Amino acid sequence: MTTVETRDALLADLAVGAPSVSGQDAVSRLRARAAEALAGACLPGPKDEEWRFTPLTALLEHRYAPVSQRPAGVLMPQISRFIVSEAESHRLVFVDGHYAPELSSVVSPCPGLVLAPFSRVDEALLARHLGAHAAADRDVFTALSTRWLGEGAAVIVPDGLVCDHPVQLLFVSTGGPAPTFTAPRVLIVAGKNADVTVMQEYVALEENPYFVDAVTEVAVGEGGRVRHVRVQSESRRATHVERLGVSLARDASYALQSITLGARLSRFDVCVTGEGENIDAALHGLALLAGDQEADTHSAIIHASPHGRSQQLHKMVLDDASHAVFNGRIVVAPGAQLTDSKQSGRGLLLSDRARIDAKPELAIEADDVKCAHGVAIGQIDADQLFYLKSRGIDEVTSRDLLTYAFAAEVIDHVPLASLRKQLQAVVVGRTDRKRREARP
Amino acid sequence: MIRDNAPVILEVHNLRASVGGTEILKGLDLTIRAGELHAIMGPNGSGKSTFSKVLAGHPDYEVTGGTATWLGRNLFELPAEERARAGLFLAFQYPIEIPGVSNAAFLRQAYNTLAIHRGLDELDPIEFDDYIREKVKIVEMDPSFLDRSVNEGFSGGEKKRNEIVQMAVLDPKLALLDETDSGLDIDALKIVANGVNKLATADNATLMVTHYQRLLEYIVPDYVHVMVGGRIIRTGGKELALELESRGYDWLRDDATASGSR
Repeated sequence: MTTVETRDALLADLAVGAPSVSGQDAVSRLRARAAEALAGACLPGPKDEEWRFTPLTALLEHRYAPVSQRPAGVLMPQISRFIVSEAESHRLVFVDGHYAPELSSVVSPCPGLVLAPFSRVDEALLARHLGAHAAADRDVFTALSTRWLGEGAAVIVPDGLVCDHPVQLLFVSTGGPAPTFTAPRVLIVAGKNADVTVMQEYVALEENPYFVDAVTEVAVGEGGRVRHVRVQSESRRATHVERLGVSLARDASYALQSITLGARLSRFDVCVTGEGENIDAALHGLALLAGDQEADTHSAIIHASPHGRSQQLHKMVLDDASHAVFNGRIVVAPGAQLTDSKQSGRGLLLSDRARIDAKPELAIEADDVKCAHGVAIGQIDADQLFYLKSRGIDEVTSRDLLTYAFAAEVIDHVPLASLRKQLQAVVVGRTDRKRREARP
Repeated sequence: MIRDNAPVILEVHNLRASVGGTEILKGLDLTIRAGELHAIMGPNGSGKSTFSKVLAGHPDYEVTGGTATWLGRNLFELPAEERARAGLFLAFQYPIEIPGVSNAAFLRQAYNTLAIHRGLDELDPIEFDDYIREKVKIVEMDPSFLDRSVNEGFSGGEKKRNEIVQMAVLDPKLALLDETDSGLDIDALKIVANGVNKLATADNATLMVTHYQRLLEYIVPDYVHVMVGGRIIRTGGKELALELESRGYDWLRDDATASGSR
């Protein structure tokens, strides 16, 4: 079986059939557009600039099938560890792409907040937004995900509503023995001066191979504020591909913490477009990788109007033979004067075999702007290590503390205390695990 | 406090050490007993700081000859962290900043590591908070510095105070103070010196490495050693420091040359 054949096979396998929830007309029209885009398309290969550093080998090792029926028997105790306590009454749960009402909790949402599966959302609103912030024909994976768009999670915050309680969107893959394909979809719309915090997490119950191809779209209205936390904790044998498209109206602000912990192979494409003037965008990313994990983050921040501000910090912690890619693109359109944009990529290599490919890309077409960017990749600092050891702290704990310190800059920005704690435990637990393994 | 029968904490004999292939210490001898305050003075480049780093186990320095006996054991067989647990403490000339690690968490980690080693109970964050709030008073440090990242954005004086707080927490047998007076104004110097004096007992010892006599006005040494060219060439009492202040080092250098050619 040659690579070309497997590439074709993957798309061919997923070119027949339809999602079990067909959805409203707006959804099926979009799906048809995606199917058109997929006709004759092929998966990207090493010659595609956008995929140069990220081979799809791990994805192509398996054949995947969509999940036509909701798997039975996934109960609360299995997912309770993933639940963020702050969002207790604001939670939508999807299992293998299917909405799970009995695991969800929308008992007392903020008055006016719509937190619901697509099938219960106003069609005109879906028609206006779906595909508008992440076009169906943007790339083959977005098209494939849109081709399988059925049910999805909608968070609609009306004008002026400040939603005090965060929202959690949980996508569970059961990870059974037969590799599955799912296409999770999220739409977040914050109206004029609306304010919301959304936490979106991808998790697995079993460590088997499967393929998640997700698309999230976010629209923030004039003066609106969205804090968005995305945590990818898929199975270590899975492939996770995700596109996040964000559109910001005048005076809007958007803050993202994107945490990559899981998947054998993952690709996260985020594109934030400041359409209106005076927008504020903050993107914090953390990839914590070990073993043979590969994680690629491609970001684009597009300043289309004047007075926009963006700051981006992307951190990567790599152990063993893991591999991270960071491609950070900043675009300042002609006329987007007085843009102030900072971008920083930083990598910490804990092993000789780990590798980072980083590529900042600036495309500046306005003349009165401030744009700073830089990438730094290093190892544990020898002076810091000696300082800790000179206080009696052993080598492993010292490295642990310094690794945590490196990641803390991103974790500390996570707006949910319980999730911050979980993430702290993940960073520290990882090295603890190594320490136990190292013991004879 | 000099007592002839006090136990020996550290005995260094004919120590040679190099960094990056260049020999810095060229046959150094020194004995430190419990209860004693020692000062090593010397011109720039004489090897003073190298000596303290070699003792603490800095990986950049290579011991090429001689011995250092720590309470009867070979010091150089112990990795840096075990030397610290055995009671050797280095107050850094340039304390290292560690963004992202809170000072309180760092101090607690150090305390608990040592507690396990010494058979004491570990302290949880609340217990440790009570404990450390007492300790910071030794150098009049504002407790808000406990919540900040280790040394990050601290002024020179604040960093040196933080070193003495760490010393108080680790309760060492021998404290090496490497240029602890550098970068301190007179008020901060007094506070830091006061802290060191409070921590000195009949059971522990202090070795100050300094360029200036000023510190020795506030921490009065029992012995002053003069280091030139990687060796201790003269040892005297506190009055030797004053003599060095007024006469410089050249007369000793000449003496050493003369005695070397004897």
